[in-house]
Amino acid sequence: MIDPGIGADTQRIDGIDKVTGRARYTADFGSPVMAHAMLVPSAIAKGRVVKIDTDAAECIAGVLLILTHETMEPLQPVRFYMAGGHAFQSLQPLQSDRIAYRGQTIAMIIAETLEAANEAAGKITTEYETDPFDVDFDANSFKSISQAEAIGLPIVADKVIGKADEILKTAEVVVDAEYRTPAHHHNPMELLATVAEWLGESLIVRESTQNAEGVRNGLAIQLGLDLDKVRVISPLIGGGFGQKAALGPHTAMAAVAARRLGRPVKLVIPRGQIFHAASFRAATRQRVRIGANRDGQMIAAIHEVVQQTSRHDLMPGLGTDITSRSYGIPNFRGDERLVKLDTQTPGFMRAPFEMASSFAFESAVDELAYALDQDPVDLRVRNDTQIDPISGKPFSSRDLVACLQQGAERFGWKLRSPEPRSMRAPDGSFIGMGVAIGSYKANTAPTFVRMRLTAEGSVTVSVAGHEMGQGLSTAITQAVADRLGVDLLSVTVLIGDTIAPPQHVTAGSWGTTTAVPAAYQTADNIRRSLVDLAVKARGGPLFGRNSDDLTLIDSAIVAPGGLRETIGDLLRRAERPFLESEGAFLAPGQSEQALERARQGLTAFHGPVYADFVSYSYAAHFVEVHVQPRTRRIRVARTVSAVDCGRVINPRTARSQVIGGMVWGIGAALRELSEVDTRYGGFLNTDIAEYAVPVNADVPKIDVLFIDKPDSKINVLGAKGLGEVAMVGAAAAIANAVHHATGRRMRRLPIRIDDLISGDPEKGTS
Amino acid sequence: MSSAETIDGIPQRLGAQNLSAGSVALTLRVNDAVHAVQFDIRSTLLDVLRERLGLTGAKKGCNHGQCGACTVHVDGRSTLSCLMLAVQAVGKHVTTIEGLAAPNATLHPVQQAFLDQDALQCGYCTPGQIMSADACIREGQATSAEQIREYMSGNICRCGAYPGIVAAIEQAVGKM
Amino acid sequence: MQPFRYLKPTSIADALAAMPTSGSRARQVLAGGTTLIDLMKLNVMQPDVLIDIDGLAELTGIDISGDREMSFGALARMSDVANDAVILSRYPVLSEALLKAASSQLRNVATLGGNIMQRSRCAYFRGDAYPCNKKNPGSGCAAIEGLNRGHAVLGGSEACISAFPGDLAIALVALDAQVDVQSLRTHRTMLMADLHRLPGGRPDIETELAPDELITRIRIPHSELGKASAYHKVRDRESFAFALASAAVALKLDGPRVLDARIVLGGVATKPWRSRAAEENLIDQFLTEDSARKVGQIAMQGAQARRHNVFKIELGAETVAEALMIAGKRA
Repeated sequence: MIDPGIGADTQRIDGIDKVTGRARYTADFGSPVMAHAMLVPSAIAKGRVVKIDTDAAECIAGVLLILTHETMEPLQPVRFYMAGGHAFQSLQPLQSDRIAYRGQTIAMIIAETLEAANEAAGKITTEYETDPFDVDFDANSFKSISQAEAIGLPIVADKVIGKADEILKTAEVVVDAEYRTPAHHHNPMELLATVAEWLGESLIVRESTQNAEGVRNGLAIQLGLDLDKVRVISPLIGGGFGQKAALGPHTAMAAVAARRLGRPVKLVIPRGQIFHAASFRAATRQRVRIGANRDGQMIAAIHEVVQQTSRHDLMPGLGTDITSRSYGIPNFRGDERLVKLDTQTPGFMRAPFEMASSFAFESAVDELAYALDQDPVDLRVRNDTQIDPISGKPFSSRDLVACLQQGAERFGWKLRSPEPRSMRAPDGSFIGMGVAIGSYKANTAPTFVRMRLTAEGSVTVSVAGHEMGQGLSTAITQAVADRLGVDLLSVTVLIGDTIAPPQHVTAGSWGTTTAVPAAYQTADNIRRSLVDLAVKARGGPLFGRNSDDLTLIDSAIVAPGGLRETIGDLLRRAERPFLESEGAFLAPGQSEQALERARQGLTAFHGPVYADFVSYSYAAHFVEVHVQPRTRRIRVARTVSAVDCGRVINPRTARSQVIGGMVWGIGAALRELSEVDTRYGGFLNTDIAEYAVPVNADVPKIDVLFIDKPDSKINVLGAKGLGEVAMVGAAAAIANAVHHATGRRMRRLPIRIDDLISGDPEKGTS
Repeated sequence: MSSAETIDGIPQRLGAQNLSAGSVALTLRVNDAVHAVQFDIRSTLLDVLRERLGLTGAKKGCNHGQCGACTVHVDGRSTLSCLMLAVQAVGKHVTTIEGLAAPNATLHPVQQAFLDQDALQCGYCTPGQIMSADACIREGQATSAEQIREYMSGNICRCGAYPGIVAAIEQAVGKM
Repeated sequence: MQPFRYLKPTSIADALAAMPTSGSRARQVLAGGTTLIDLMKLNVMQPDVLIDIDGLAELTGIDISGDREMSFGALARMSDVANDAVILSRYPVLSEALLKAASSQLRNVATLGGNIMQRSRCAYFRGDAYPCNKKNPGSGCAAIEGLNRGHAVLGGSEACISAFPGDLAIALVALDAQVDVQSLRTHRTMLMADLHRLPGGRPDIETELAPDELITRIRIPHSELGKASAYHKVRDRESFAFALASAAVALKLDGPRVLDARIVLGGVATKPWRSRAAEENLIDQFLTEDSARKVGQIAMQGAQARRHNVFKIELGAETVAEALMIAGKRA
């Protein structure tokens, strides 16, 4: 029996602060003695800075310092986080005259005011020597290298089960198609920001980051500081989505400037510059082959993915991790390949590989359904599995069939007539209904927890985490408050500040699964200590009682029949001003080494393959689109998403996550594209108007339902991750709906009006 | 800027304001208080609110009028403070999120509705959304979900809280 | 942003006295500021002097009660005009063009005079270090061989194919609007349709205004075509985006028969694109799906597509067709 607080529809504990403007993000901090920084980006795509003239900029009143590769001190290198390091990429600007990509920082101006810094940034003149460069993914995707060979780690090995190539040849029906997705940018609403300040020899950095510990450790390395001399604070960010998951190159620059000037320095990176100042989602080209028998049993599949990476780092692709397990296909070959281009290093962006791989694979499954003349929901149900095809281990919980069936029911899937172009709306639009599934690994990261309950009944809990709107601090509060029988407002959650226990990166949908069960268990420890005290310390009303009979409620320990002692009375009687519990928590079966990695700010997540089971979250997305016959304008009319994320800790924040995931699905399917002009390098549409994220008018009624069955194996609360599965499969569901409406199979994202208008074979088939 | 002595245990350094060439000294009326402020003539209203007056509720999301996170009211009308020079706001009445609720500190109906409908996630766009939502209702543009969606499309929410925002406005209409 | 001197004239006469005399763009009029401040932040425009005309009483008036015409001061706010109930019912093309032009916040600040002067949204124009004849005459045009999906298929030249991004101007041309301009030297009127220039060899010169001329008023003659009118805008998302293609149409109908028509295109041309050929073809015809589509195709005649915007030819035609069908229902 779980506490009622777990699963309660609790209002966000930071909600009032957010609606009143009191919530503070990094750029909201500052002081009158603070100086303002502005970056200057490279105008060329590759080569070197021959001469950078800062004279005119220095003359501007208020300019305090200009850092260029000539004036910036050398930093110790920090490695790429996917190669055992901390940084989003291994290349640190301003350490040489070399330019590796358009938009790379070539200078940082620091001035008394933002206006002076901006003015000076416009006065820097640079002479470049240019080198030939390549940013054309489409043209170069054939020159890919094998990821497994190039990187060599088990985690990036190609997925192979059975004999896919051989068995595919025997299949009665085969789908063989190629799909493409473009580069995407996260564009969270909050701009990247740093406020760096030195107190004596100690560096304090407020940074908009999902990874305070990584930033802290990385900075310590770069600046040659002892770890205890660096503190990074990031309890609340305005959206992360993976953009803020590793150390960015700008932070050390701000720290150096602050040290040189003896003043705090604030940098807020303009949105246009962020397109090149942080990572992005790699473009992909994919080939999916699925072979099935006439009865609908999938017998073999080959999923080949090519995606881009930078010249300086190999960012692996892991999209076939989910497609190899989406169904019980006994013969599967996944092939991940990389193409090096002259860009900054791509990285994690909400469902970094899964958005694209599910788009390709779930589109192919839809094509298979048509080839077999079978219902797309039935086909998926038929091919479900409870055993992981890769490892042979059982899934800890897999309610995907329930997602499909309940989702179909809620959506009214029965109303769909399968023939494309067979359904019309009163206004003449073609109605399309599509379905697709998504899955996402249920990983866990190590965390330390420190908790203290005072005689006044207030609780402070520090744990690894970063609040970015997923409701993490609320979930932690719920778990703790209920276990200890105190009011929600009595709980203070300290996360995202390295003064607390090590702040492992919050990403990969593991934030809640990592922090909340750990906080819950720690609270449980304190609870048991309290109860123990109550029954064992003479002189109290509950002395000698059976511990198991006692509950904690309203800041008191209560026995059946009503006899009670308040926490305050108990602790005062026991002469204990507080009770504390501290602990380190690992993922199931995780080695203790992970704790050391967490201390060092390195990624230390575990899963989805655990010792005895494999753990994923699942979703089934159903979408109805209307396509205007004349202009081919596509509108999403309604959606239903059914999700298995184990136990739902907070239904309102969970629902909001899934709504957000569907909005991201709409963006990926119909709107978003990072444009590359291969003559110039970099990205062209570097603002939030031309990089078209969905607006309110794009988003219809979104219905969400949860299976809400606790997973019995992954953690004590039975909760799996949610933030990314919420969007995996959504883009495919939309594309499948567009096919149903138009009869056109769109295999390239985004699907826009011009794609439906043109008979251009590049852009989808008739 | 905070007037507190320490934040997160970090002592706050107070001191003289920074000025630059081309600064002007003007009076701005914000949230029923009159402020004598000095700022660079190029400063936007957004930057003056945030960097000079410590009113950090309005956010910089794009600085080019494309996201709505900087929405405030100027003479009662929703306005993008990032595209307005501070000097253009002289003689006008500016209201920010901090000044939306009544002085007795209970929440404005729109703020309460945003909480009830979970019309937010990371919260960064929320002040701007609320300022626009308030204007939407006052201008009689909240008569249908479709109308609300259209009106509110100048406020981008990357977390995707749009349906909650629409529901919040529908809830608040009845209470204003 | 580069430094500037800020002037706030208190009368039209003072404003006119401050206007520039050369075409160097060193002096700029500041009205709502939503275009100017945006471009100044990008260093696309770097004026030395800003002339803030906001609040000049002579320029703010809205008068729709006249017998012959409606008159709007150049500083009339977009939202004030858009939300006027009379305009909404008698000239829906005008309301719709204003409402679809921008977000509510922008409409509250942007002025009619400023809006028709808005500048290109081409990424190469707005961005840094791309060849752009509009910004730096003679430097070339990156869009012609570049990512030109959003660019013009009508009215372009080998020097520039930037699409005219505005909506209000399209509706004003459809309503035969006139623009009054003033300088210390002159006091003249021009047709809205004549305000914007084709890029030709000088895409940096965008309008027929002399550098010292200030727009003071926009006048719209009352017309029987106003009621059965529509502004239809097709874009990459449902709202808050520039047009891929748009059409302002206005009709005078006798039953299903079209007696008179105005058809003006936006989003597909380098300036508001009135198609007299399409209008003439529609007059005396019955308005049907077929005739509307045919007329839409005529409106797009002469289109020259680039690598990525071929679709605009068909989309433009369909947008006109759809606009006509919408307008037809409002007779």
